[in-house]
Amino acid sequence: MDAGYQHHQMFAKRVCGVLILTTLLSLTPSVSRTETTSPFQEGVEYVKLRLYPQAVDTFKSIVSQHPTNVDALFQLANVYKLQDELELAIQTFNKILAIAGSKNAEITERLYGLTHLALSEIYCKQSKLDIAEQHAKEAVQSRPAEADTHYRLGYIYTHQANFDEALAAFKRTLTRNPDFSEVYEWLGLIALMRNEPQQAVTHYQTAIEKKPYVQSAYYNLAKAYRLLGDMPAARKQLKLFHQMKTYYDQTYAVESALIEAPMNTTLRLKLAEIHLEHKHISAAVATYQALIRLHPNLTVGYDKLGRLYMNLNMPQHAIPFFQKVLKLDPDAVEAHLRLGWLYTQSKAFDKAESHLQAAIEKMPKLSLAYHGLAEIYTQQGQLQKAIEVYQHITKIKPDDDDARKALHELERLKRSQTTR
Amino acid sequence: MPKNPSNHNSYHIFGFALITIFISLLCPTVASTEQIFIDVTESAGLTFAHTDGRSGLRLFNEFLGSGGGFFDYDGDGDLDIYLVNGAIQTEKTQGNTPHNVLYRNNGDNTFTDVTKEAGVGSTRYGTGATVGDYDNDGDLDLYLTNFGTDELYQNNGNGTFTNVTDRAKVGNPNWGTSCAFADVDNDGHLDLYIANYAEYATAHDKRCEERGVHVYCGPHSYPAVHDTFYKNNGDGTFTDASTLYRPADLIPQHGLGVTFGDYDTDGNIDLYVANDQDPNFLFQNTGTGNFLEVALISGVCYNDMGKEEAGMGTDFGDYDNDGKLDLTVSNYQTETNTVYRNHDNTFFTDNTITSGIAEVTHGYLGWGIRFFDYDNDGFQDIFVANGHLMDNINVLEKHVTYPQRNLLFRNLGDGTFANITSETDGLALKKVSRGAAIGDYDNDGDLDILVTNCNQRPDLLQNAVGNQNNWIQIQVVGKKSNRSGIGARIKVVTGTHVQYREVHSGGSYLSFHDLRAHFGVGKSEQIEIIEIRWTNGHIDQGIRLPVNRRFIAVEGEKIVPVD
Repeated sequence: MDAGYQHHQMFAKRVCGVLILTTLLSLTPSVSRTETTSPFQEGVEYVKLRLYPQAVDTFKSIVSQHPTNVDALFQLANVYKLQDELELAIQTFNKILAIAGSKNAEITERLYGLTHLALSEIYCKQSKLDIAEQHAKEAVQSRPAEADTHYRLGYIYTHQANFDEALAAFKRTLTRNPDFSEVYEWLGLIALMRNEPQQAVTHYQTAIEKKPYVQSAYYNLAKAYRLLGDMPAARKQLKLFHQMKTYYDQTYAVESALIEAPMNTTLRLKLAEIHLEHKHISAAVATYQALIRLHPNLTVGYDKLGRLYMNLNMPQHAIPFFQKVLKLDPDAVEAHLRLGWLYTQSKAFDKAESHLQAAIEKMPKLSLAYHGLAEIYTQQGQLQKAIEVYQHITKIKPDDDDARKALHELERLKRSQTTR
Repeated sequence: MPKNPSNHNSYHIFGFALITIFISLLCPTVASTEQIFIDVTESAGLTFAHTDGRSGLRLFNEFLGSGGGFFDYDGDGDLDIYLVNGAIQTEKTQGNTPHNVLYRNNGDNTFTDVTKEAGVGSTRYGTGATVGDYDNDGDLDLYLTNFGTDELYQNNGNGTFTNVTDRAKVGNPNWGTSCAFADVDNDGHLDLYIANYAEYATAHDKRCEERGVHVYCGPHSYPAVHDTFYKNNGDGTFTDASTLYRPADLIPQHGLGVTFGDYDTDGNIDLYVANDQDPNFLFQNTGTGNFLEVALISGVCYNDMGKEEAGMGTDFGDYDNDGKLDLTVSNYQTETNTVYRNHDNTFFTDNTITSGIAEVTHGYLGWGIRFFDYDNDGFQDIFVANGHLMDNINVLEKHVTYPQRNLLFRNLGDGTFANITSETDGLALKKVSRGAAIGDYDNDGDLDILVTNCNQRPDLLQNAVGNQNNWIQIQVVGKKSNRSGIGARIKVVTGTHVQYREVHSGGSYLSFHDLRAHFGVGKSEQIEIIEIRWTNGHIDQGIRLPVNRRFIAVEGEKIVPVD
């Protein structure tokens, strides 16, 4: 199914950021598959996985039984918002505020503030900045210590060209969260709009330092250099912008397709590969984790994560994923091999040997496994055992030059030890 | 617990009060009851009704709409109107076949349909149009873009036209949208640029859905095709020079808006193309027979987030009177329209937010867009024609409507604009607008507006306030330069202002405009200097000229009043 004309804007951060999503999800503890999952937690999990229709059904079901369950209402409203069902989202968020206004209801200050913040975002998206501003102010009043609320106000003031107020709001945001990278982008933009290119350069450099995967920062940094008359620097940033834009466009295309087919494993793997190609490791990890949550019985997600951590030289992170692969597929020879290698790296030789032997048991002519065993014996100083293993390799794989060389080297070493 | 503002009437009242205060702040000079533009469509006799051939299938070519514009086809000194029509695509037409219409200005604020006798009632599925004297014979010829082969109508000089498409070799077979004439190589003959949209055939139409709702497909559902550039051979024929002029590595995009303008003031006319959900193009004319595409390095490729937008219409104009052509682009709803200020003839700054148009235009889907000085105060204002693309948008987004109001932004003279779209006059119309053309059709010294609408009649909006200030209009006639004077750069100096205009044949969206250069001069009683730089570099000058007059400037001759 082709996307409609509007589809391209689904991820647009031009007007309303997606920061709140993270905040909303962090309201609830993460779901562990080993624990009993409540319907609420299940709904939250659906949201994380962008399974919005399922999430709506789940939260609606909770709300039908408990109409004043503000947490469920909040999540439901949030899903509507994520689906661009803005009127439904407004109605539902307003229900929370109505409940908050009644005498007997209990609602936390945090939820109240977040509700106003969410409404502010929606009204921004609907080009109703005056109403958005009122809600943002309520959010600030309710949650003055939260950087997000001040950020929203700063965002609105920027778009109203009320730069002094915007700068004050962004300053408050940074006081609360100095790593709020988006703020530096807006500070840069304000500086550009005020024809202060040198300041813009500083802000955009900070933004890039804090979050290097945002195309707009490079683009605007180039513009700042352009205004300063520094063409080489501008061209350099435009080159980087192109790289980031390519990355964004690629991920955008896959994410758009995932909205139509959220369970599609190939798409998720492709998305992770794009992240890896651009060295955005955390995004790749998150993508694999989402794949695992969606398909907990598929080995591919665990295997990919294990390999990723292996490549990052983080054996302790990698090992559990290969163990999970073996749990799901005891015949996964490659997992045995990798665990053998990882345990060898960790000097856990017994475990390493056990996995390599298991691999050999399943594939008796698997020379790589023998190489692993030989390595273990070598590292432990058991040269004779290592020599025997290499001799075995040369028998089952006569053209294995590596084995031949290693064997030659070990025999030479052994001779020298004997001579001494 | 804080009170819930959304659930109290007081909030709504408070909100309403805020909005009222906000609007009143934005409208410092216009009383709420003042009629700025009056809808005179009916009294003018414009009975034309557009059809997009609505099939119910949401065919991909139904939503772009059609354009039109003002031009004096019969050379009688007043502006006539041409309107482009769509066509029925899915069934045999019963009764009258939809066709384009030419209205002759009767000189008394009414028009007469002269389509048949003029011979310009094309029945193809029309999109855009432009005019220019391509054969330098002293009358304006008409070029039409279609979903299908485009057409050139040569003006015979006697009230009739001849379709010379084949003879002139300008039958662009692609789906042309906006188009414009300009003398790109300064040889005295008008060349022609046509933006092309997509490679599409109704027989291969795709069905698109969004959240389960059948919607019009986005541009990327169909591949883009390169735009077309025809070089005028000077003998009544053109050569397709598209590949010669465009950079070899240019990636085709979905072209919609076209405006020529010498943004770098080097004497070679340049070109900006607004592309739909694609990077926009700025073609810098090297003067050596080709264009360089410099949008990115010039800051006019993307929005301020480095993202392509759904560019629809576009126009060059010097809104800050600094002698450098600025640029505006209309975009999709939830994108803002863009105002780019020409910084140094090589780079543009994005002044969308600081200019004050961002917040308002974010809520509208813009198409036709044009710089023009509606109130003759010496600063160019902006008009935008709006209307959503999806007839069923309300199903997906309750707060968005298919018909939308158009917008008028008054230039406050300090780099900012105020939305003065009044609730009470012709600007209050809510329609599915597309094209917008500007011209003084009633010759009363202020600029009127023609808006084309999808499946509706057009709107002729008569300016009711502009001539409260003084003005002049200049018709340029080239001799060595192209006869229409397209590309001529005119500088007008009064005691209070220095203003610049270039004569352009296109701009906006699918539309064309009065070729006479119009200057509002506020309360100035005299024009100190008029200076015209022709496309061949020749400069003519007139000094100490009266206001509220129409002038004719023949290249190399004295600038004289028309009557």
